[in-house]
Amino acid sequence: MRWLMRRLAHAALLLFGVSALSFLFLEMAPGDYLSEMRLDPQIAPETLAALRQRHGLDDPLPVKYGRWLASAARGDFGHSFAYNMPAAPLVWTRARNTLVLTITAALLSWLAAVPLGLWFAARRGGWVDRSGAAATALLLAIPDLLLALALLMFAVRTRALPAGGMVTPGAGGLLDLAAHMVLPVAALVLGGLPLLVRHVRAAVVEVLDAPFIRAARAHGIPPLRLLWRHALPAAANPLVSLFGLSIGTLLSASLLIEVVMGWPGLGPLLVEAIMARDLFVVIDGVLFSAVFLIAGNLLADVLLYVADPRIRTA
Amino acid sequence: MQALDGVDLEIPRGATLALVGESGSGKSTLALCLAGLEAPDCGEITAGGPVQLVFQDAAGSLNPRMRAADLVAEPLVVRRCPNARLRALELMEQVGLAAHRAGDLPHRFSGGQRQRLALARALALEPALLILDETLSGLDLSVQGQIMNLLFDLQRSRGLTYLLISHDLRLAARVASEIAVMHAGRIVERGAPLDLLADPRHPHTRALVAAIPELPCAG
Amino acid sequence: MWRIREFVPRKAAVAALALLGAVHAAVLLAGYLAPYHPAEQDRRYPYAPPGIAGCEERACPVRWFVRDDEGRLHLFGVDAPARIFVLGSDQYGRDQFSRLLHGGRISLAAGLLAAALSLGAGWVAGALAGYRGGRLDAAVMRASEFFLALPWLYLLFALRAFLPLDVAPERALLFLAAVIGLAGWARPARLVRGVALSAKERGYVVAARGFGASHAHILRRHVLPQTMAVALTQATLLVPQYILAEVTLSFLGLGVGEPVPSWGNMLAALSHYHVLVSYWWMAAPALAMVPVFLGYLSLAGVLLESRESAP
Repeated sequence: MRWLMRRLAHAALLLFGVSALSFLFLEMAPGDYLSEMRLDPQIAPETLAALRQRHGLDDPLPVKYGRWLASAARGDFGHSFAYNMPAAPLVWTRARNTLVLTITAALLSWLAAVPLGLWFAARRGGWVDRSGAAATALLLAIPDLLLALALLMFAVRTRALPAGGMVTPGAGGLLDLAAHMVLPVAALVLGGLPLLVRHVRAAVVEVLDAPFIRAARAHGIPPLRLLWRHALPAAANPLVSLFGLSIGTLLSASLLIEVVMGWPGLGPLLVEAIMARDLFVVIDGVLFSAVFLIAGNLLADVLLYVADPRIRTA
Repeated sequence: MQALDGVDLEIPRGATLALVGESGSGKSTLALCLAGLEAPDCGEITAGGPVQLVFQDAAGSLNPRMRAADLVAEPLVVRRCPNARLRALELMEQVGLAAHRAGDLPHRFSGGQRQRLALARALALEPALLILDETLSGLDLSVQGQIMNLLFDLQRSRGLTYLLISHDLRLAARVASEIAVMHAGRIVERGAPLDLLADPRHPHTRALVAAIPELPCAG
Repeated sequence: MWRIREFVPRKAAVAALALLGAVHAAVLLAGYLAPYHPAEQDRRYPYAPPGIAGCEERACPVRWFVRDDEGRLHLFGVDAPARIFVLGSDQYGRDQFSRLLHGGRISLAAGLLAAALSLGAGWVAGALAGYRGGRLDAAVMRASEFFLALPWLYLLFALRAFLPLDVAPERALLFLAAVIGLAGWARPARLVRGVALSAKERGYVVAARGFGASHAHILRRHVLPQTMAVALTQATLLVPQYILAEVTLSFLGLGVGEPVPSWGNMLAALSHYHVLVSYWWMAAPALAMVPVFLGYLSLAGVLLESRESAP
């Protein structure tokens, strides 16, 4: 328990640091949202000045940051100039959509990677393993962008699936959502699967060489049970750590895929906000992504703690 | 928790003192202090000349990617001595390693040969005192004998003083002119090997003597 | 069968190097291999499919070693007014093949430069932190944690956000390489630090201190060579990642801008569905990335395998 508290405190500190750094960097950035608006002749300079005053855009950095922290404690994470609404709810809705995508993709990837990795490890050296390795290498070499574009092209040509967006306007429901999810999730899974399979295979291969596996085999334990009940739990340790790491890569991949496929997640929002210099949206978006990543790592650590008795006693 | 507690040691020039004790007695710490690799919290170390240390793990003390001659020459290279390589080859010959092995990597040498290599390197800076940390342990008996002879020869020709650190009392008795027994960071007994073996006074010495397995005499 | 497996790594390395060499050579010789200047437009033939355009009677032979109007030599071309579009043309009638070669220069250079930067910074920081320990080590670890707390692409975008949006196209390459490179110093630094830390504890390092070697000597002779393997493997993994980063940024309009071609901004045309579906040849840059990635990743695989079997 003490350990968990420490990790949480550490995570909180990290988030503070990230937010402070973001503020610092944005401060050093030339121009902000309102300076872009200055070029618009329809907006009176007095309005702009008033807006600047209201949001404290000209205050010194520590004041800005302090004010943001204080309001964040109250749940107010700043104001989006582009959308003219509080930044937090905006970011949260988009973040939810990203989560839906990434969690589904993560589950599917691991569900596919573990059996495949086990299979290749069990048949290592054989043609199954070698063709698997070749397929993995090829898939790894295909950039996510290409995968996304290829999938989109396929969807538009065959009209089998909706190409882009999250819901069909007018329609609704789970089935519709699922149909829209197929393409982005497929792109994410195909992009992440090869590396996962490789790691699972490597971890299992290392375990299969261990003496206790050989002993079990000598005792006549059938190979399937051997893999599932003996090898896999022993290989779980590095894999659980990998799970934490894969969250980060999945989030990065989803940024691009969301933009390409028009999925209304954090990715497109962030890109928009950068172009428009929408200060608070950028910071909040970046912070959200950090929260996901840190949460994912924390989850992985907890899983490791629970799964591996050796760590508990350490 | 102190590793060493009030150690007062004096070794006559040209002699071999063996420091015997079980693991945790503080002998390796003492060796590191004397070699200048650890600073004692209090106390003074005076040596009548340079001190060099031959490490317990000879293989570990040799960079696996460096060639034999470069390993031996390194102390000289670091001091920018002239003809470092030449002197390294001479040293290798003196410890009984053929010159044509100068370009070999450490893993190509046997355990005993690696000890010789480490020894050659320790001799490069012409020390007055050589600390041999478990140098003879872990070798086959025949190899042990060879290294022992080499050490004796070197001692005579160069007037070296040896501090041999070992956990093996019997080995120490064969090599040293004097034995000091260490326990829990202190020297508990000291004397000539035969005296110590025949009449150990301190309980720890007695335990060490008792631990020596008795071999039946050859018929 | 085992002997074949031992052979494979070495053969794979040679094949990978050959592939990479070919791609980089082609891109370096862009001026010669490309029939046209990348910015050269021909509005008569927008979105022309691959082939020779403006040639009705099929009597336009491909000529080799032609000189253009400015006297520059090109490997091949056709007589005006026809145009040869090996990979088709875009909406302005610009030859995609020429743009692919010239754009490749930008994208590959960005990847290499950024990787060099990341590795350089990471190597120095990691080696010093691991070897010296103490406060320096703590500071480097804390700093790297911040950089690793964000998903890689989010971090890159955030950094990009903090910089001016309009960058002169000529300077965009260096600018991008700097941003991408600095974003990624943390992981190489940590890996190198780990190696330096364990190297510091090795017997031969202690022995070297024993005969009076200076820190500089120990770093140079005993610690840094150990870090080479890790650094090299990281390099082969980072380059493709950074090429993709440049492509992504340029694709979204945050990288290299028109008229300088880069694989990224060339692919931006595909964000319009009608282009994606009707003009498949515009996806050429994405396809070109595959052999590049394959080459670097195979090399990384070979290096990782050889490291595992090393003494």
